[in-house]
Amino acid sequence: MADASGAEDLTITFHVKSSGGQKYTLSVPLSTTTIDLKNKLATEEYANVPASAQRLIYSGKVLKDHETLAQHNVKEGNTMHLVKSAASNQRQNPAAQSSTSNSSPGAAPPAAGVPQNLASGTGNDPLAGLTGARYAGFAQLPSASMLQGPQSPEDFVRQLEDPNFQQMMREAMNNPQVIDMMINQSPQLRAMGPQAREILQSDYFRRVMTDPQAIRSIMQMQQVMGVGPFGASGQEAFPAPGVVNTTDTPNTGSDSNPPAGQQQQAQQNPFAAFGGGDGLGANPFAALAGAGAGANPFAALAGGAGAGAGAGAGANPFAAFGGGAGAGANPFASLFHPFPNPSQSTTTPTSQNNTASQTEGATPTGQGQQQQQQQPPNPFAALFDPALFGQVQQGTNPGTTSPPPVNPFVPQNNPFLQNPEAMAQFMQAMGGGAGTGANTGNLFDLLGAGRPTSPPDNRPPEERYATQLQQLNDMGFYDFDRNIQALRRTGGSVNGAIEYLLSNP
Amino acid sequence: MGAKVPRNFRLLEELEKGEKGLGAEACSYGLADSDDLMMTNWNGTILGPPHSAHENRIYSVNIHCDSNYPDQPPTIQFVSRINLPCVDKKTGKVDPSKLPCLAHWKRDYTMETILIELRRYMALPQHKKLPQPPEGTTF
Repeated sequence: MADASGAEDLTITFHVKSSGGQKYTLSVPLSTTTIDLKNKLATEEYANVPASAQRLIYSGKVLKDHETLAQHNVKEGNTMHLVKSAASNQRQNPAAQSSTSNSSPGAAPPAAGVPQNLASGTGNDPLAGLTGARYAGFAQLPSASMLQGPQSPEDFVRQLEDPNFQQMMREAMNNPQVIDMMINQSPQLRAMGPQAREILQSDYFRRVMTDPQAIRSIMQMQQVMGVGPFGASGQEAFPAPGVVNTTDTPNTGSDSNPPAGQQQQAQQNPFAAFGGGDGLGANPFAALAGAGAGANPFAALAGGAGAGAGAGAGANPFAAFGGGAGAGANPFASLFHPFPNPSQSTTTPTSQNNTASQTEGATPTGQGQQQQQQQPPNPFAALFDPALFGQVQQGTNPGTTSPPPVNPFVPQNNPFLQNPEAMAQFMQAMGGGAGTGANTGNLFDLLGAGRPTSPPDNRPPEERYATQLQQLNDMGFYDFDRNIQALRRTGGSVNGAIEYLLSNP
Repeated sequence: MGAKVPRNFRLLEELEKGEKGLGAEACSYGLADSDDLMMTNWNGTILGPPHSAHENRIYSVNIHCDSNYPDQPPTIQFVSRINLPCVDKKTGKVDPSKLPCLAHWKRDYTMETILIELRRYMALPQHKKLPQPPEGTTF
C-alpha cells in the first residue's frame, strides 16, 4: 500500500472475471479508483452492470470505491472478481428476517415444492431418498419409498403423480444396480433368477407400477370391499404370478411372508392345493395357475376355439393359459373341451366366478371349498394323470402342510412343463404382474382384482383390449407385453398396433 | 508425493493462484499486507452460495497462517458477521473442530480448500436457511 507513490501513472493490464463466467481484460492506470473501474465496467463494452451493483474482489478483499488499484497492489496480469449484487431489497430480506428470528437458528422450514439443488439436500422431502446422494449411490436406494411400503397407498399414489417421482422411478428402474438390489431384497425375486430381472426391466411392468390411475382404481376397489372376503383375498390371496413359483421351500409363504412378498400366498392361495407346498415351491406352473385365477387377465383373451372352453370354465385357471398361450395355436387348448367343469357350469363372467371361488378357497378354514375346486371334473385334471391328481387332492389342503406324495407339477408329470415354448410365452406374459406385486404391494391387484368393481375406464389393458389382443394373437403377435404396449400407444387400434409392433422390433 | 513443499513456497504458490484468479470463482484470497514477507495474514472472500440465505453476499475472512502451515491448518476468522454453527458468535472465529476440513486437516489442503469448504458448509441444507445478520456488519 505504501509503494504506490511513484508508479501512480503506470498502466496495467488485468482481468476481471464476472460471476457469470465472462472475462474482461482492462488496461487502466494504477491510479484508477475502484469506482472509476466500476464505471468503466458498467459500459456495454464490458459487464453492462450498473456500477452500484458491482462488487469487485481482489486478493480476498472487497475493493472499496475510493481506493485505487495501486493501493490494492493489483499487478499486471492478475485477475479480480466481479460480483453482481442482486437488487438491494432482496438483500434486505434475510436481514429483516434475522432481526426477528435470530434466536431460532434452523427453524426456517424449507419451502415446499421449491426446486432445490442436489447438494443442498432435501429437508423433509419424502422423495429425499431418491434425490440425494443415496440415489447416486447404491446402498439403500429405493427402499424407503418403493419397497418397504411405509406409506399408505394414498401416499404412494400421490407420489406417483409427481412427475419428478415418475422420473425417479424410471431412472431407478433403468439402473441395473437398483434392479439387483430389488431382487436381492426379495427372496422370491432372488429365487427367480434372471427372469426377475427381465420382469423388472420390462416396460410393461414399469408402466403398471407407475400408473397412478390404475392404483387409484384398486384403492377404490379395496375401499368398497372393505374387509370383506374378497377384499381380504383380493389383496392377499391373489398370488403374483411370476413370484409364487419362486419359493424354494414348500409352504414357507404362509408362515413368513417377506415384506416385499405379500403376494406370495402359499396357504391362502387356493391353488396351493393343486400342487401342495411343493407345487408352489418349485413349480413355475403354480404361478401360472395362480395368476390365472387371481387376475385372470387371459380369460378375456380366451375367445378362440380351444380357449373358449377354458373361459367358460370360469374358475379354471387354465382358461387363462388357453388365452395366454395363444388361443387356437395352443396345442393344449383342446384339452379343455371334453371336460366341462360341473362345479363352475354357469357362464357368468369368468372374473366373478374366479374371485368368488377363490375367495372361499382362500380363507384358511375353507378346506371344503378348496376341495371343490379340486373336483375331478375340473378340466385342470385333464391335463394330468387323474390318478396323480387325485392323490394331490387328498394330500393337500391349504391349511395342511403335508406335501403331496406326487406333485403333478413336476415336469415329467406335467405336459405343460415339457413345452418350453408355451411356458416361456406365458411366463413372459405374466411378467408384468409378478414384478408389480413384488414391488408395490397391492399393485398387483390392478392386473385383475380390480376388475369386478372398477369402472370400465379403469379396466386393466389386457381386458380393455381383449379383442384386439386376440386379433393380434391370431396374427401371430404373441408377445403380450408388447401387444399391450402397442395397443396402449395406439389407443386400441389393431392396425396401429401392428404398425408399431412391426416398426419397433 | 516426494518432498514436502516448504511453507513459504507453498504460500507463494497460493498467492499467485489467488491473485491470478486461477482458483474457484466463488472464492478469492490474497495477502492482507503485501509487504509481509512471512505471508502470515491473508484475506479471503467467499461469495455466498446461491439458493441460500447467503446468496449475493460476500463474506470476508481473515486467514492466519502461522509457521506451522501447511502442516497445521490456518486459523480462520470471519470479518463479515455470519450465523453459522462453526463460527463463534462473538469473535467470528471458525471452530476447527466443527469444520471437517480443519478437523481432518491434510497437508495438501490449501486456503482455497478451506474457503470452498466454508462455502459448501454455508450451503448445507441445515445451514442454508439460517437467519443471517444484516449484510455489511462485521465482528
